Amino acid sequence: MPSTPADAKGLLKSAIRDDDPVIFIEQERMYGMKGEVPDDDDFTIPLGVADIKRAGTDATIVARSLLVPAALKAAEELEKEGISCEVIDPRTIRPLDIETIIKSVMKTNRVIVAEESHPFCGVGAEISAEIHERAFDYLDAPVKRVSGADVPMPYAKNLEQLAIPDVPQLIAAVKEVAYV
Amino acid sequence: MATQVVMPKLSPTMEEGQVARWLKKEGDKVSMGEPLAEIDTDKATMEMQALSAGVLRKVLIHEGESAPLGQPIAIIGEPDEDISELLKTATAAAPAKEAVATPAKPPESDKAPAIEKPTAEPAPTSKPEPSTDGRRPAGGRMLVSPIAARMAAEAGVDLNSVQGSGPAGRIIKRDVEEAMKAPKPAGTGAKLRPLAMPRAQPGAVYGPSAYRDEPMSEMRRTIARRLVTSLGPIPHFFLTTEIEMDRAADMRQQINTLYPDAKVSINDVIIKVAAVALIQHPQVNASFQDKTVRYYEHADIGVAVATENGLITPVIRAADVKSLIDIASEVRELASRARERKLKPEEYMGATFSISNLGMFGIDEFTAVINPPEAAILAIGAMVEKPVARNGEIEIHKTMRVTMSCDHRVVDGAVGAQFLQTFKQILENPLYLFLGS
Repeated sequence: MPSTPADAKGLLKSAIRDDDPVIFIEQERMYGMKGEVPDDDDFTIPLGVADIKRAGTDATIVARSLLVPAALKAAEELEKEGISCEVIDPRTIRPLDIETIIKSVMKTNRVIVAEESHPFCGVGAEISAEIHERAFDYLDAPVKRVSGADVPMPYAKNLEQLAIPDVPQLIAAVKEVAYV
Repeated sequence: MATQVVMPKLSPTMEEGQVARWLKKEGDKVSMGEPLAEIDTDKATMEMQALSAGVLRKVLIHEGESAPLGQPIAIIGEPDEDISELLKTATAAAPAKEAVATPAKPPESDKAPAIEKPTAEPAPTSKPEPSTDGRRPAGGRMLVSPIAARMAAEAGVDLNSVQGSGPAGRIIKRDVEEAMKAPKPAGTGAKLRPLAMPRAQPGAVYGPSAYRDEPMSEMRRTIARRLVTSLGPIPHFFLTTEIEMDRAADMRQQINTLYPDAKVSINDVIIKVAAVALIQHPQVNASFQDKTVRYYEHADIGVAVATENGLITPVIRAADVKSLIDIASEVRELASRARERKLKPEEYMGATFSISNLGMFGIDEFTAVINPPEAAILAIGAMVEKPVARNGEIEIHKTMRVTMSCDHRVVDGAVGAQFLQTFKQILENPLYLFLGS
């Protein structure tokens, strides 16, 4: 699940070169996204290695795909209010680089798990459970999930927008776990 | 014939039982000896067997409810038998039940369902709500985030004294951090007992301190023997601590401003503080005798004085009950006569504890040799101004390093450390000397 054009190239090459079948999930709305991409034909990004997109100290946002730019935007806004967010993109769901996430949570003590998908039985639920199991003693607030609304995707434009997580929701979630 | 099932006595000390679980529902067939219910006693959860056969017609005490011994809790009978008489007597026999049964439950009635929610919420007792200081949520349970709990445990912060700022008063990381930052009284740890300090009678002359001899325990004898074997006639060990002297220095200056003639020195303050601390730690104000450990009633402090001919230690008798001003003049007088070699033997012998101060020579710290038969000696270094890290800030404080040499035959490490802790606490908070009765 790439979140940048460079990741799309590197991850796709790794997926192709991998001997096992790989499911490669693309977010349609990111097809028009522009960004630096290395020219190297052999540029690959290893599967199962998360990327710390932004370092921070007060809260960790774990986000994938389209929510990574949203999380970075939220982190930027929060920085203005003196809240420093770390943004982690796991890049691959399975293998999942949980170690990087746990390490970050142990540092920040607060975590938002963001995803566009439904909350029920989702990847965010799994990450949240792992965090509770591995870093319970480091948590200052319950793990907070920001996900798509738990409803069938509405067709009406206004309702659809309400069902998709956005930057204000992320900001509110960070403030909640940071007790601001 | 229908019979009542009564609360059985399942443990010798049982007075009432709680139905944990009915193993049969109303209408189920029951044979004699078959497990009927699980009962929580004061000791354990036990199975109760049916003492008659038939059909479980009526459950009178539902799961989670209690009944005293002998009270009917169910009725077993034939499927079509009329049990109204039994029901009547059963409910009549249960006047106490209202009091015993969980108050949260609705009163018993026929429309009560056969199967209750398994073990309902713990029976609320009539204990008063926890104090409504706004610190605790309504349930009375303290809410603490995991990391806050861990940090508090590691830093020794009492969570009861922390005000939670999270939702519902949850104590979170920043609350514990605040609590850790909050100034603690200088010299943390054991609290000082209020000082019950007897005062010297006016005009009283104190001879050598009275004492009591206590037989030495076998353990103490063994400790003594072993340590001597390993270390020599007096097995020394040394404890060093650094003491902030700002307050003591201020106090001394204030006294001398008020009484210019007093000429109280820092050393006089140290003598007084040591004497007061010794009374609180009598194990240090002691001496190793052959078969006994001698504990002194008063602290007779030997003060090491350097003379042309060598070291001599004039003794300030009962320094624990003397005022600072008295101690100051006595030290001055004895020291000057010591230098003139005019001290009488009883004026330099038989101290219970000694203090040696080389601070005036700029010595930062040193170890002194115990003056037998005393159990310890305090070596005082120079008072210097130096940067001290405090709460992440660098502050300038007057500090002084002291090293206590202890006779391990009498004073164990922890005992010496506790004395030194008290000594440090008082010296850092010298106002203590003027409190108490």
